[in-house]
Amino acid sequence: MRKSAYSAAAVLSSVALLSVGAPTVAQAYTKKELSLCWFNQTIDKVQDLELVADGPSYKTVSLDAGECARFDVRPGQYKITVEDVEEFTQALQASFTNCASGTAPRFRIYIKRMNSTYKAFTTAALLNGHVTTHVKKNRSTTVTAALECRDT
Amino acid sequence: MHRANSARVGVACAAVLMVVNATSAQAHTEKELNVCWVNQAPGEWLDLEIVADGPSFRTASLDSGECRAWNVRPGQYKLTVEDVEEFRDAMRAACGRGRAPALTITVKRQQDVYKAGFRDLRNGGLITHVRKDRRTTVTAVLTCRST
Repeated sequence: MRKSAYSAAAVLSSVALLSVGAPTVAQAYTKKELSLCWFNQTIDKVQDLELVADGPSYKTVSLDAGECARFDVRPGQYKITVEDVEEFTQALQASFTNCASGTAPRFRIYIKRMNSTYKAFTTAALLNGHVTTHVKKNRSTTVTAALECRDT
Repeated sequence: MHRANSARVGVACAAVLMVVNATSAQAHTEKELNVCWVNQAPGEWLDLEIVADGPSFRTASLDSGECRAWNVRPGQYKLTVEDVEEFRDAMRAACGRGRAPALTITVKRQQDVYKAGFRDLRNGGLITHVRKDRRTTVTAVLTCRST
């Protein structure tokens, strides 16, 4: 009885170790290289994000708040844009009035590669209507658009 | 006489070969992308948090006077900083009151240099190209001007 309890504990700890080890490998190697996410902290979360990834592969997706889409794409340089820049910026302005009281809206775009994240310059992204990044074969690139409501 | 001429030709050939060799040695590099940071502002604390987004992805935090050379895959690169707005504010703070920051970025390829600036970062990033075994050097220099 005691032996089997130890065995069970050993198996559990092995599983725990494996599950700790596995995500690292899974994070490094992926067949779905491009992830696009939409983070929307407004009260009604009504604004969705109609994204376009234009590069060696071409992908489009409509994301609700809190959603991500992952694509198996060819490696190379990608332009990430929205289906209609004017429509998006107008909707963004409307969403800016929809943060909880005591918070202020902020729109940001984060690009993550090799576990390192940098922020695209928002003004340029909105003026140019796109951000660019590169996708490597079997490596993850994540672009997250975030409409944040920050404490004032 | 003829032998003397041959010797002269031989020496000349050797000299030419040496020059050719030296040039090849200078041109060939395994660390194709080189990024440098020169901060001439009174606020010497400001470092450069550079990001190179291209076929390879590299980041570095450079102190003034520092360079970082990387072995990267060839192709088009977007060079930017980790947070453009934060960097712009930090440049202003580093220059202090009554002085405006002026960021010059030079791009050197094939022994030729051209000038870019903060407007490239503001427009989404400085675009340049890296060739295999050939060096591309990007140097950012911050100075301050009286306003």
